Amino acid sequence: MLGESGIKPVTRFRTDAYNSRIAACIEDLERTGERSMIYELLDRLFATMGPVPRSTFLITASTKAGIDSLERISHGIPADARDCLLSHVSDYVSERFALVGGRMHINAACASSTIALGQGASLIEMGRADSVLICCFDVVTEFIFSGFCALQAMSPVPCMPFDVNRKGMNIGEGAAAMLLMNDHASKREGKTPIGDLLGWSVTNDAVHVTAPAMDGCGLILAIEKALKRSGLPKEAVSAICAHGTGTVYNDLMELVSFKKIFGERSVPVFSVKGAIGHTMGAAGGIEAALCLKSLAAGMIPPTVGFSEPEKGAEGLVSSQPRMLDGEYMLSTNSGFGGVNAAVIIGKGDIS
Amino acid sequence: MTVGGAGMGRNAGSFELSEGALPRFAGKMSFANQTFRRFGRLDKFSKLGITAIAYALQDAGLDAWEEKRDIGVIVSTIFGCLATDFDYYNTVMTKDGLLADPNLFTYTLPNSFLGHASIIFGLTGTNFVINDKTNSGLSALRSALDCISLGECAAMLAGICDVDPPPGFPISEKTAPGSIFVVLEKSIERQCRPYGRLSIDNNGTLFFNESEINDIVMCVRRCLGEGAEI
Repeated sequence: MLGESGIKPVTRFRTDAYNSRIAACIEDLERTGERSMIYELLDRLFATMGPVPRSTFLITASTKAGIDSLERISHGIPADARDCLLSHVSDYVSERFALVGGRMHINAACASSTIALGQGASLIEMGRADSVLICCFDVVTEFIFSGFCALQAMSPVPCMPFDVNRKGMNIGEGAAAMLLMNDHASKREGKTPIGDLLGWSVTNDAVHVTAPAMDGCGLILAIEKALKRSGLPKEAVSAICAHGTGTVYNDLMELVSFKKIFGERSVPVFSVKGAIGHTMGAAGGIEAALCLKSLAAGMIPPTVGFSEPEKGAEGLVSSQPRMLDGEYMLSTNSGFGGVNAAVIIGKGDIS
Repeated sequence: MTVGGAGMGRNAGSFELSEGALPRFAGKMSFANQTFRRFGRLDKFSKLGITAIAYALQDAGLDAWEEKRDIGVIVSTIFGCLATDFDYYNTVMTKDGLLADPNLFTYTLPNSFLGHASIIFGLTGTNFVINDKTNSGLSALRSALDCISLGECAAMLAGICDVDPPPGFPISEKTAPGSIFVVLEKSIERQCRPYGRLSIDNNGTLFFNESEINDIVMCVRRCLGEGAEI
């Protein structure tokens, strides 16, 4: 909300060879022994969490999780090879909370945790779980950093979502956990809901593997399906947490999609990636959690890095925090493989 | 597509998922009058998965299309694109990152091949990968059934896909390499004889024609009328 950015020069690995030297790394996040630093990140997340019912079904989401262990193995440095299997990291979360309700790890590029939220809600709606823990995480590694640089997707300066001068994305790291429950379980466990997950959807553009469909076909379909599932009219959406990576193509595609859905109505749009970077598989979950906070506070976060609007972003995106007038937000994410995901989040009754 | 060969449905002959070497892939792939010329440039994991998806769609009479369809794909995998991860990182280590291969990096996301399959076959539905501890495929089947039950998609592909981990990789998990996909639809509106009915109870137990199944291999065997388990 302060409009500050965590995107800074990377010190975790050398960046000489790359066209970008910056990322949003968590200060002092390091490995412990031979295990991946993903566990240090998770431990920090867990330290802030309350108890979770043991019967809870676990859905984790990440794109590369413990890939820093693969880096070490490749260099001949001792590391736990099991960290390279995402199901193993999922086990760690499950064991931490002694969960017995079953588990699943979802991997769908930058839409992973948004999809995880939808799958959790589906399980509850199908009656196969009354409580689902969604836990998402990803860390900044040279593996990922180098790849996006090689694809010419990275910005040499802090990213500027929806800005006409944007030059690409910056990666970030983070983790989030959310407990989904039906009414029965929340009452039984004495949990007060802070929001509602009302609609969700996943689609594929079926156009290109790395670039978004410029007509927004997949994202438009995802938003329409999520709205339909929520039972809400599109007029109920009071703000959009966009994927907003700061790449030329993604931001254009999203503006086209939002225009197609919402027409001439100026629905406020924001992106947090100028503040915390693109947290990859964790992005959707972190952004959904921020939507919950926004709804509770009645405030839309600023889009850090934004100053001069891309055509189509005028009046929609702001570099300042704004009042949020409404009870429902749309959050969207898109990723490699042509995947798009959308969720509709409702304000909880915090009275 | 397994060690035993590639095939589909009633034309597959005997079916097994066993350890060994997968058949060699062709340089390009042709299905339903389409030729996917970039097939030869994909990583092995992607080639494997796309081939199996192609066969499943052909068996279901869904390979040809003119307009995109609301069909999704969910696949579960143990190792995912781990072999490609190592191949990619080797290009990073060469010359300290200067030669990082962008094409290989694309395939370090295990869902990338779902993107190719979606493009080739016009699939716009729910799609994601499940990183699993076994190759039972049950998680993919369950999620796919839920998608159909909740009206998210008209049809779903559900399956497994695994190539061998890199040689010498210090992990004890063993699995037979291969990929198997099934096509699930709620209602039959086209002229295609279904193999049977897949259902799920509140505990997540799966049934094929009201007999419990323990994995996707058993499901396929039941489809083919092979009652005995390996």
